[in-house]
Amino acid sequence: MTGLLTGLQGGRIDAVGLTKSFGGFVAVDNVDISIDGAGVTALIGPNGAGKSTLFNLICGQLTPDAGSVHINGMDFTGSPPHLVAQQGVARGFQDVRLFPSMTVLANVMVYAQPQSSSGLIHTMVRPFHQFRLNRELRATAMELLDYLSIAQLADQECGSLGFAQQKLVAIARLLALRPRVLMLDEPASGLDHDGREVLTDAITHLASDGLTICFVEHNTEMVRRIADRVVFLAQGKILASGTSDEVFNHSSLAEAYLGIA
Amino acid sequence: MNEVYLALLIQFAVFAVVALGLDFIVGYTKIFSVNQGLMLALGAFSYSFCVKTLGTTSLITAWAIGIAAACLVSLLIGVISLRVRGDYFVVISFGVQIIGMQAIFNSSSISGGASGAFGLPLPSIFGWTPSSLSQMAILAVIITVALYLATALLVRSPWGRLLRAVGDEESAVEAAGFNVRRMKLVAFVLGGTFAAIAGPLFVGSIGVAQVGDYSLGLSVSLLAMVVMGGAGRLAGGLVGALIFVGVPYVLTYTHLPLTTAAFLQQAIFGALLLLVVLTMPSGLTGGIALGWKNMARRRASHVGTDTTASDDSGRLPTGAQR
Repeated sequence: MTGLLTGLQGGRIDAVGLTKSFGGFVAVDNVDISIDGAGVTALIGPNGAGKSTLFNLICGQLTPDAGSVHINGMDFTGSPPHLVAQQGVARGFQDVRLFPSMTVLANVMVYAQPQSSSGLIHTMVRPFHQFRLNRELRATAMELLDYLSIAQLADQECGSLGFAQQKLVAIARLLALRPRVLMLDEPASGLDHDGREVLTDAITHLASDGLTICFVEHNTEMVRRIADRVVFLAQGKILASGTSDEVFNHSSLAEAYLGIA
Repeated sequence: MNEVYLALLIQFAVFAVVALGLDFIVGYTKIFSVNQGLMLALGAFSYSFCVKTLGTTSLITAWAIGIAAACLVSLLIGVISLRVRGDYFVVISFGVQIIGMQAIFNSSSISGGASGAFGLPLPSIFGWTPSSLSQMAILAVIITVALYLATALLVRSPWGRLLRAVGDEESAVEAAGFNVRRMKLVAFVLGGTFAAIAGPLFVGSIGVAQVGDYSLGLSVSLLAMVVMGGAGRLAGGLVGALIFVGVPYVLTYTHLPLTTAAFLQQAIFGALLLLVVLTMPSGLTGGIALGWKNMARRRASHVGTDTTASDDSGRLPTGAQR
């Protein structure tokens, strides 16, 4: 475990009555969900169940039609993404969204930058402070890449990486935020066996260290291995939640996935 | 030095400064703004205002007024138009350029309307006035070098890295907790400031400030300079400025009639721009850098096949030099 990621503190997200429709299609329908404490919550459900929309509503990429989002006890309903992020909610994207023209190291460095010293005024007032800052950021970024066993990629341009490698870079980037809540949208999709092992280990370690983690995943084996709690979403509604055994044995799951009553 | 060369040098310095500033907008945040002609005009007419109305040739005063005006107009444009992206922004930017220049044209007490402001003396700085065009050229070069170095520091700073990230994938910058809208606004204001610094140098050295010189055409040319030279690259704007100043000069050697030369100049710019955009997406400087890297790699791999130390990449380029 890298020194950067010790002494992590969890966060708390409470969403109440969240609703969002696009045209006539109700993507998220009156969803209540609380994510808190050290632990891993897995969000599962068929394609189009509203999992990514729920992420977008919580993290500010979308504004809900109804309902509220509280983060660490404060109201963040309809707040822009950067304010949600500042609360320690680190959100990963299903389609990764790295900075393609920049190196892997620079990608992680951007996320490691403190707000206070990233402004133009700060840079102009203390023009030479940046050399020390860059050195520190580089060390932080290297440590995180090393933690995810991708240190050898540091100097490669992100645009030239394979999808699985990009996924791991995205995780390293999120960890650079020193988050309280980690929101991962299908982090393991496209990863090979080794990549999935690294990711599973990382999530388990981070959760046991105090981080609050919520992730969307289709791989049931991985969900069973690492999720403390499973929330099953279909057609914009929560149909079941509980331990993985409870949810996977729930009748609604087979019904939603396979159409069996 | 020959007066013609001095005038060209000053012109190059002016365009280089504007292009350096514009690169924050076009090369880093990737916003295609065609307002830089207007920003240069704000600087230029601040100087004519200083001379005609305030009775001073002080560069500092002209800069203070010009930069304040450019920042204000940039902020205004930014707040209104940075909500929209891509094509929509370009359209708004076109409109602002035209409206802005019309406003300056109509303020005839400052701009001299259609005839322009004439007889502007060389500007002074900290009580020192250049006594000749060559001294003026030295001043312009010093300012350009200073701004180049400042830009070099800025783009390598965490702020510069963040700005590049905004151009790459802004949703991911937001998700890291940064206010992307504010960052774009800052880039916009900074670009305007650079142009406002260049303005007084330009009109101070040529002695004339005419509204017609700062048309949409100039704005588009400035944009083309950055794209052609290499957007998001320090040397890009300089190379672009060099081409824009150099080509017309070289054409004077052909002794063609003026109208033919002017037409040929436009044709050459157009062809060059097409060629660069189609073959080198990262501009001339980017294309050269890439070519250089490929050549070094090819040499290294060539040498690598007939030496045993193929893994010692640090030594290979030296071997290839033979």
